[in-house]
Amino acid sequence: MIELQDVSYRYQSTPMQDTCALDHITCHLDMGRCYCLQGPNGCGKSTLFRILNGLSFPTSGHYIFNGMEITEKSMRNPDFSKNFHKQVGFVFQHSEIQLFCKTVEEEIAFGLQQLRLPDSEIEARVERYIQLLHLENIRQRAPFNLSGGEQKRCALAAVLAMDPKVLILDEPISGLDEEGQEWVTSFIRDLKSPDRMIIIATHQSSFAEKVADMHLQMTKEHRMTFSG
Amino acid sequence: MNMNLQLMRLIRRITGNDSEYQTADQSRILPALRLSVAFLAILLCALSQNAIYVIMIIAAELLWLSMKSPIFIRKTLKPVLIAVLFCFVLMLPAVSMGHPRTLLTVSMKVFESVLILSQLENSVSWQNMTDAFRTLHCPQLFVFTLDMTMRFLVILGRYSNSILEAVSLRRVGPDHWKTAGTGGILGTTFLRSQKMSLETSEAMACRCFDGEYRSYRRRRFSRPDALYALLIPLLIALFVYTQQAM
Repeated sequence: MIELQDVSYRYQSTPMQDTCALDHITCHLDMGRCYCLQGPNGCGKSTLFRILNGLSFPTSGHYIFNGMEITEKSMRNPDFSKNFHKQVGFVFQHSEIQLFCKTVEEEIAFGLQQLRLPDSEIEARVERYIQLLHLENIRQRAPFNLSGGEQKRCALAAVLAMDPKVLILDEPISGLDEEGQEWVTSFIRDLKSPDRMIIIATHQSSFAEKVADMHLQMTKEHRMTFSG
Repeated sequence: MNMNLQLMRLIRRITGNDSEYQTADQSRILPALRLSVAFLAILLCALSQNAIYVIMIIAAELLWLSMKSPIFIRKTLKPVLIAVLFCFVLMLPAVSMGHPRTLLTVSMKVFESVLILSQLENSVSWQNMTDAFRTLHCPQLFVFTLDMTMRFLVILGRYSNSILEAVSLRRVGPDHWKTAGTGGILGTTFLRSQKMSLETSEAMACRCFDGEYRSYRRRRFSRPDALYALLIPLLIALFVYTQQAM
């Protein structure tokens, strides 16, 4: 499903200096599995996630998604880009940024409206995910006024409602209290299915142990290693 | 006296403003309709050559306002009085130039317009207001920009407040640190706003945003809306009648 072939990413940190964020990364990620990406700060996890989401592009190497190469040129095509983002859902580390609608239910409906789904289908999905993520009491509230845990649930609902094949979660339990962490952990476990791939970046090894089928380790040298 | 008070309480209950802390979102009238009526009332007042029309509208507005809570009345009247005072000062030279009526007319029109806008502001939330713009077919770009601006104002306001608290906790020593601190807060907030807008656009792209900004679950036209809509022909009829009566 996802294939990274010798992917490197470099950016200009100062006018005279190039910095390497990803160094020759090759990996193959399959459907039905949950991958946990771990590594020290600054090792390139966020850059890798940006590439996987089509927000940045490799400076060398290839990113193949479902048999199609994801490049800057291909993502400039609105239909291609829409089809890609429909299949890849991304929950940002700071949910506050990801939530831009006026109410929680509008937030969940936003992506579905962009997919041009019929109104009845949109309403049914909004209801389903409001129930699933226990957002009933805050459905009419502005997302940016919610607590961290509520924002995280709202962001999850908004992304899951689009029914993506690949779900990418950047630090899903950071900033949550113990109860919130436990809830997210069990929710992610329940989310696992043969037709969905989950990729999670986390610093918490105990959380990774609980949810991961496979561990991906990034090193300080911006390379990737695997473990079962 | 007692009976009057009871009557006022009853009216307040009927108009649905019983709660002292009524939130803006609880209005039963469609925001788009309220916006249209407000716009029409202000326009007709501006066009009116007859002071009776303006006085009647002000009287009706004040009657409606009197049924609200003291907090709402205070919040509504504060900007109105400031605007009227400012207008009065500006128009004062008209009296010395022999046009005292102009001072009165303009002040009354300002009072009426700002009163209507202030009531609208206090009874319709910004979320519903931008929805109203959308319903009235304002350009999507305008509505979207307005929505995002409001959101960023809240988030960045909160952010700069946190920095301000952090600065005030560390602010010891000579006074010039205070001004340097203000510059730092503004600069950091500006940089933060740039980063946030970029991240928001990426988040939107990830959710397949293609430029169309639609509203979810538009409210349907109800019976209270139909009654409220009667204000439109009523305002026009009153305007025509008072202009002909001159």
